[in-house]
Amino acid sequence: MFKYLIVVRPLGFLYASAGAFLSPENLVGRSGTKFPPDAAALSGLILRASYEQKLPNHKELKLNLTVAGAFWAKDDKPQDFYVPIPRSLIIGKENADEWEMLDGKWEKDCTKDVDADYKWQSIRYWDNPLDEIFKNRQNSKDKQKHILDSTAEPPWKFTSMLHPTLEKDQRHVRLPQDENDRGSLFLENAVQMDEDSCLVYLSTHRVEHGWYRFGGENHMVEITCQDLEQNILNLFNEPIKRSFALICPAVWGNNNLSVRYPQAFKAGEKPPQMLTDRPVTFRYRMGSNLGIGRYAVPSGTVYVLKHPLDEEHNTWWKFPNKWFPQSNEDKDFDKRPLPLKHLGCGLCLPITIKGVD
Amino acid sequence: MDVLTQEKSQTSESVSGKYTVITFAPVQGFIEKSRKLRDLYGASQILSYLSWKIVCAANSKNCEVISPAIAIDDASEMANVDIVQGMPNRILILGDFSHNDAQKALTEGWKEIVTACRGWLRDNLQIDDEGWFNSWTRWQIHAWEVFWGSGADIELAMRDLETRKLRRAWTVPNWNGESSSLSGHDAIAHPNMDSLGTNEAEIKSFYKRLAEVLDPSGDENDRAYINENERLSIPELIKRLVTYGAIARHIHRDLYAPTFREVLRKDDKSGATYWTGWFMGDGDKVGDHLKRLTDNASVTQFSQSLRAWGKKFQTDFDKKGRVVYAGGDDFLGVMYGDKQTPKLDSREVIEWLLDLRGSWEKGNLGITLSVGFVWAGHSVPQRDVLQHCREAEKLAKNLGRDRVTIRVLFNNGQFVQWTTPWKYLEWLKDYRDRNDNTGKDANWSHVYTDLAQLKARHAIPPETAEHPSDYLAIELLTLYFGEDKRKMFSKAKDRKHLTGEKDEKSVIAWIEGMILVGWQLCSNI
Repeated sequence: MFKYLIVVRPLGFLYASAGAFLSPENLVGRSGTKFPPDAAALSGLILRASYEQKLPNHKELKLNLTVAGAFWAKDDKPQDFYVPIPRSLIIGKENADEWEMLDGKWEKDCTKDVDADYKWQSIRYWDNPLDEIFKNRQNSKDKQKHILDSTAEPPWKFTSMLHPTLEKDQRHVRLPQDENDRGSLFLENAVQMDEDSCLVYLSTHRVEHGWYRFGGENHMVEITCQDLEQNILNLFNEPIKRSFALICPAVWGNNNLSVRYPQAFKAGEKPPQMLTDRPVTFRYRMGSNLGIGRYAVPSGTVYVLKHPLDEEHNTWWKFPNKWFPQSNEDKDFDKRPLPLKHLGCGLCLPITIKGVD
Repeated sequence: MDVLTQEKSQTSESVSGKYTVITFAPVQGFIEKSRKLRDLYGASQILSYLSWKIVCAANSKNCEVISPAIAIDDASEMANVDIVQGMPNRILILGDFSHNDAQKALTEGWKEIVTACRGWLRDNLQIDDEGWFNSWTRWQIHAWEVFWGSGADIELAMRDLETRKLRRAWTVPNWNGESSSLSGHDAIAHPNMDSLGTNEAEIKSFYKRLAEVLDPSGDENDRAYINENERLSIPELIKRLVTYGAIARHIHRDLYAPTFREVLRKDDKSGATYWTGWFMGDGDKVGDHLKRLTDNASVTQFSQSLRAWGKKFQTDFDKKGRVVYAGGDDFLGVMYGDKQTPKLDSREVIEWLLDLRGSWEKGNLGITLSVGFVWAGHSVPQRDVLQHCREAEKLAKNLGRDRVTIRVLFNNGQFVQWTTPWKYLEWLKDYRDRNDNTGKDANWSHVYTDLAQLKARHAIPPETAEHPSDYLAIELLTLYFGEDKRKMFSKAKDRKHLTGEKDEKSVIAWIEGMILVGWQLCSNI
């Protein structure tokens, strides 16, 4: 089970990558920007650090390290971190609404017409009734600073930065060498985080406090590690019955095709009811190994199963490995890419949906 | 017997009056992943074609297609319908048209497109199918999601569709090895892509040959269809290839638009490049509007008006640039100069935007319009401009619709912007400088430097201020644009209408946006 909360504080800018893929073409510009860095980036950092420090348990770490995220928090309250809001809740600035089940179909009050202004909610408010979440939202507008905001807007924004490279021995910008040389300027799509905010990940293993290079373009971050509070652990141990929501993207399917739910959810030949969206790409590079390029179900996705999950599989932690696709299964464990479950793929929590027993 | 069953089915149809709505996906995503105008154009042609295939299938099943409205009586005339004009991708049908029927029609259309592209590559680049057969097949099967809804009236059918759409229906091919250089995902298409290893030399020679064959007369690093250094995935390749005459005509004779080459024209020989204007817009809450139209006649009427508006918009615009697509209430276009005057006059932009709103109103569509307009520096990559366009349009929608967001985008990626209800765009014309000059002669530096000074001294509070006062900003505005403007700021309701929010911060941002955008677009220096 996860034991630690890893807190990442940027020192200056961070970098938004276009997924796991970087090339001169994709280094610049704004399309496909992806932030915050996913769990694979932190997993890679921990493994590299352990390797460089020649830690005795490096092999054990490599076999078992499980990291999930990314989430974010206010700097002084990292344990109250924010996770994606389940798609069953639509929380706007002035109004809120929710989806419920009626005769096996999704229904909501269509007269309300609420835009989902918030995408993140505090884990403290997980599965609270919509009214309570929304009421807190309204209260916090009145500047009661001691109250934890139930929902919030993410604390980062993208800024374009133009980087010139200088000639090695002269103080003017490097001139292009030939037609294929892209010259000396490149536009970095950097990310600026609010000063009182941090990124947060869950981990099974510790990491030494210190400064590390992290994410695209390897900007410096400060990393600290603390024990995960018991009531958050309890939440992750809460059994899932019929309905749950993803707080991290999930990859299902096989090595050729990505799909929306594992075969195991199709109990009784009836696919689950879902609230979801278009697929997002999911790919990571670990050392020199480039994993299979896959598509993931976005976080926030809600599943309602026909039957409750069996007791032996009723938390994410108990989801069997075979539900997750695995590339190069025939290879030795430490020769193949990390299992997707070890990257927090599809991390989910139970939720209550009105109309589902 | 035949006559009997036919009669029976007709009666039951009119009694139950069953409506069916079809749409498919990805539409936004299919277009969004485009980086070049050519991709965008190809994508919108493909979407139109697929819609058209579904409409044809519905006609051949003797269903009445209510929207998109096509003014023909005879189903056999369907082949003559001008499909190059954007077909909306939400199709409303009266009659029994199953999910399976829709799926079949779309699959058939997409298969024609895929086959034409693959066949052309085989014949013109002498490529053996075998090495990439599986990859093409996977994309042929898994590129689209089809959504279907039905109900006793139009509203119920639409709602049924929306509910079913919540669970999506995608299955997507994974990939090994390096990804497309255009989007950063999906495998690079090349003749041996089915085997896992990517052979750098083979990929290189494929793209070199492809670039040359498609555009033999182009410059080495600036080919019309594809550049040698690009690495595209199969769906991306298809979007490019359908804009090539021989391939397009093979799919359908109307699919090719010969004037398209023009769009990519830079100022031919001089090498000079200029600022361009890009706009993306769509009608507000069209879905809701359709729900209110409960009888077929008014839906058909609405659909016809939309298509008519799109057509007229396209023809009227022809001289100023190019409409990339105008399908239903959705449109995207780019403004650039012509041969005689390659440099656009930025001041005309405001005039044109005001006209656009006027022409939309004249279309009598009963819905308002939100537009994102980006005035972009010459070296901003197309894909970034497109992304800015989308963001700008989204902002116009989020701040309350019936608005335009003007974003002036500089080559270094920075931008200034202003979102305003259409009506107040005109305020820019009321500018009067310190010497009482107006219109073309006005010197916009006066207000611009005053704003900069006041900001620098925090007399106009910065964005970070906890309780900013908008007093000075309003004073500055009335000083240069007229005292009559003041009344819009006195009531919370009016402020909200103007800026989208009630607070003073939004007022400051609105005024600042107006001055910065005005200085960039209206100033004659």
